[in-house]
Amino acid sequence: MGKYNIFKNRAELSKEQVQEGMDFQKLQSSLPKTNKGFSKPLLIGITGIAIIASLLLYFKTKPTNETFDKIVLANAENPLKSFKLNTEKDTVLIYESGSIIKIEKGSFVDENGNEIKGEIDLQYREFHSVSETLLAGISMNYDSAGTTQYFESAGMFEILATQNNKAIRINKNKSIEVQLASLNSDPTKFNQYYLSDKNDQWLYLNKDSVNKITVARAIADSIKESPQYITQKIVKPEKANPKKQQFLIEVPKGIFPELEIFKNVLFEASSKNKNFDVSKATKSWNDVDIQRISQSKDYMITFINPNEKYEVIAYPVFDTTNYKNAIAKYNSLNEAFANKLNETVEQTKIKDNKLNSQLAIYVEAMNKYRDLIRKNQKIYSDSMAIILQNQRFTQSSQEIVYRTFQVKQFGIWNSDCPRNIPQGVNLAASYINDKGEVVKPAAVYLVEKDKNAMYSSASNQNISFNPDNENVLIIISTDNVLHWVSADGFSGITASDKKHTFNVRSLKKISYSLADINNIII
Amino acid sequence: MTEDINSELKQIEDSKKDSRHFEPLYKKYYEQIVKFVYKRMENLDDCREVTSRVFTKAILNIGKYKHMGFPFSSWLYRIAINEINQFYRDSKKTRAISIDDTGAKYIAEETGQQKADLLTILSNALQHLEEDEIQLIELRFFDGKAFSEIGEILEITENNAKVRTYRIIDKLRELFIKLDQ
Repeated sequence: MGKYNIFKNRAELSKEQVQEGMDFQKLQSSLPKTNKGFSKPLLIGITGIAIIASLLLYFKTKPTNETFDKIVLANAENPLKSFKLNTEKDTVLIYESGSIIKIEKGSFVDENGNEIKGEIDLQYREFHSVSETLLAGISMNYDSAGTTQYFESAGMFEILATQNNKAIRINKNKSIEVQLASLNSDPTKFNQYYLSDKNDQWLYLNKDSVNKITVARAIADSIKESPQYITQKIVKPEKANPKKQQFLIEVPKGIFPELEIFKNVLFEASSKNKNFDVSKATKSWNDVDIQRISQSKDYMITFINPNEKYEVIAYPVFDTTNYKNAIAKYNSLNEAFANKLNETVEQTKIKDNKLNSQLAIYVEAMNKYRDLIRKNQKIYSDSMAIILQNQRFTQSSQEIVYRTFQVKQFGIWNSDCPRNIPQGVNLAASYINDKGEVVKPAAVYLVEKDKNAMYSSASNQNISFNPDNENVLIIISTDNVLHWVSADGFSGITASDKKHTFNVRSLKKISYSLADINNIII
Repeated sequence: MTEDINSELKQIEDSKKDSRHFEPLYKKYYEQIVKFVYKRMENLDDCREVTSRVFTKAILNIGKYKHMGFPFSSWLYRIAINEINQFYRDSKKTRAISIDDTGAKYIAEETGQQKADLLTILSNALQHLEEDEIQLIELRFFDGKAFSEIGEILEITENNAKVRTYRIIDKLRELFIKLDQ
């Protein structure tokens, strides 16, 4: 037989076989009698596959335990960084990793839900490596529908805030945006989780995604409106001169609106014509071309036949009867035009004023922005220098991988990929030090060196590991000594082994540093 | 359909308060879960034992269930996969896989495999895959799950489920060639 026992085209279970195994009463009677609200202690007792809380977290809730105090001392290497900020202003914070924290004004409330004004103290820190997570006492075990899994992390952060040393909350209508700089650029495999302080359990929130951003600033443009003016004016009708001769021509439609508004328009030859011959203007022509002469009341009228042209400069006039109507029409139109013009001028003035005041605001804002940039230039360049020096985050071209969180409550947030407990070997482990003394574990951590992942198990529990991986065991003993089993300590163990005694190396200090853990893991 | 979902969500909420209310959910999903488990078990006794553990775990953990828009069955499948893995870890038995002509045909289409005895060729190739790879092949080709549901069951993104499955298909394609030589 191979690695798997493979069935080909096996018959599906029959209805009878399905029905035979279905017995809800039997299932229910096997449940604990007190089971109503499914409290956590019951879970541990009943399922047999207990939810394994990290002992360090357990210690965290029991501060009387010596181990916890000493681990906390070690954690002083990655303290919460404090930022003072005004809650009545929008604020952007840049953390030393390059992470960006965006806080809108009015984002904080007190325990009664009242908006908080004034200065607050926002505290923030990040955990990117197994060593940092271990020292902070944060469990990387995950309860997936009742089964313990462990996390491979793409980055974790803790965010808290106080005002006058009193804890405050995030306004339920707001969220704080945290763009977490991440060391892992995998775009799809990570989820976001929140560590619930109610039961120290990670809660699944949503799928994660990444952005790769080049550090840059966007510049906004403003659009200036241009006012429109009425430019056309109606020509005042004139009475025909009885001493002169007039002629009638058909004016083409749609080209001369100033003529179309009147009825019975005649043309009278201007005195600018030399030798005007009225018989020519009144005879039959194949075509007539009319052009308005700019800046004058005159029109150039060209009479056209195949072999003949005759040009006359003329202006529109009205005979006595039609003049009366034309002038009345002109007066009424002129009044409407004057009103329209006044209205337009007023509107333009208002628009201009509005535009000017907007422009003034814009100019003021730009000046303030320039001042701000100037004032913050040093802070900005210092921040960038720190970010760029922090080489584990920056890739080529100052590009940083970001994972964006919408933080709705304070606490610990995480971008993680849950993994099944390592498989291959499962055995009862015991430990002896180099003096042959038995080591009593308080907490045991299995670290897979090729992944940013850590699995913790209780002291009395079997350990599971994949013998094909490069594994390291870290043990905190009940007397607060740090012990470890490096990768070569796993050699010779086979899948059939049920128990094994590991020889551990030990380090006894008052407090343990990041370097101590890194020396073991890396 | 919305009514069905609402009524199911109510059953879930009721079950959180009292496990007796879980009965309609048990009756609704027992058949599909027991058949799902059976495909991965050597015999019916093991299958019934694991199925029983799945529903025990479901009842005990229903308080943590949060409706995320996916069928309740996805959550049960997730528990089933965890329990199957746990069963094999504890028992040290050889893991069982059920393959059939329909699923094999899909894999043949994806890999361009044209040989007649597909099931034998596939059986040989599957022996070279890791357990998590087998899991994806089973869900996609022999359970006929959509990538979105596979993502939900395995708590990975839909895209990741797709990418990983097609990597395994590439691996199978190479294995078919290698094992044919």
